Amino acid sequence: MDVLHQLWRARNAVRTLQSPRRTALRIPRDRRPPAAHEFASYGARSFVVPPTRVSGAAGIDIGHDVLVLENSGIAVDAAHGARLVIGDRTRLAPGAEIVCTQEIVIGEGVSSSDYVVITDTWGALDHATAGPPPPGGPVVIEDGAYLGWGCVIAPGVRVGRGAFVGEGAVVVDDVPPHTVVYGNPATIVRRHDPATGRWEGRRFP
Amino acid sequence: MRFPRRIPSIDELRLRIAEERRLRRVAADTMTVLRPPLPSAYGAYGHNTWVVPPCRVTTPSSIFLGDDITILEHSYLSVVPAVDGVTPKLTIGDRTNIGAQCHIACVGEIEIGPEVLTAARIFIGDTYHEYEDPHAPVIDQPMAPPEKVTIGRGSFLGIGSAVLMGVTVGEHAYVGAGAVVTSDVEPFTLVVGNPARAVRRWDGRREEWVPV
Repeated sequence: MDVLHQLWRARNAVRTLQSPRRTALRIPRDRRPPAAHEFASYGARSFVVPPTRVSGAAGIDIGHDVLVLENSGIAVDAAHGARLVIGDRTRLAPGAEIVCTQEIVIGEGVSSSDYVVITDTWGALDHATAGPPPPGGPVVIEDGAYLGWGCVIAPGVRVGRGAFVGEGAVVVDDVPPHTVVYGNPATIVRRHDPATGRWEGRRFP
Repeated sequence: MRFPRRIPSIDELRLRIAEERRLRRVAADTMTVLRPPLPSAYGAYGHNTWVVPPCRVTTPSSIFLGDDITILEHSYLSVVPAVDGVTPKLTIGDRTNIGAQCHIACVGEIEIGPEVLTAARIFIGDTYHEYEDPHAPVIDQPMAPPEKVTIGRGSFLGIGSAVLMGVTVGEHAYVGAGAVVTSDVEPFTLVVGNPARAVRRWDGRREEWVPV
């Protein structure tokens, strides 16, 4: 194993010396982000970091200073008029998955931790099941909210200004502004009272 | 010989070339970031220990790895001195095996005991982004003061589970898939759910796992 370890270290050293051009070429074509002019709009200093899976760039508005980190998947049904808006200074951490068939609006200065899921559809269930699928609906994430690690934002949900969605929360109901939610289904554990300026409730469920 | 269907204009070509250059620069930066540090950069790095690329490792000098550890690909060891007066320390004990896509957010102290096995996509964090100021976005607010997280010897974390700040997971505890652990887990206990609750415990006298 020590021999293998030495080989590994040698390989790392070689990679350090390799030119950036060769490194970039290793990213497969279907994992590269679309060019800036293929998006509906694309602000200054914004980056969609490869490797990534973006489809329907014609329906995506990206503000300025946006960061969408690697291994994220964004699917927008642009051919049927779906719209995804990502506001200025928003940062989506690695592994975010966004599925948009109608409308998803992510506000300004939203931050997220890894592996969040945002969707406005429950999937094409209508032919597979007897009953109608649960109605999907536009998703809005307002300015300055925070999405914790691995949370799921379900269709039709509005996450309020400065809300804190806890780790692993599954949000199926609206989150009022300045509220902390945790759990599956997500429940409010803490909220800010604007009258007193204090936070009520516990930090964790 | 093949001809392009439509001859692009000079402006379009310029745009494409600029795009390609920008993409290459970003890609190169990403791949550089996703390369594991050399073992000598860590605070400690035992024999036969592997941090498999691609991965994100910040401040490796505050990470102390024992022997025979495997951390599979796409791990994010985020060890950040984000709170004043607190030096972060991430300790992982011998023979620990951490699945792919784990996210360990360490600002204070996280101790993952020896012989821990985790499935993929786990989260261990000892702090959270403060949200107490309603007038500023959460992204602009500092990290909360950390509380120590301990994962006991021989315990198991299921796929997609999260262990939050201040939690001690006892020896040989079993955390079910997708559980979000917000309070301490006693030794030899099975917890499931979000938020997690105990459902089974090892009864030493009866020598079996009994429902709680």
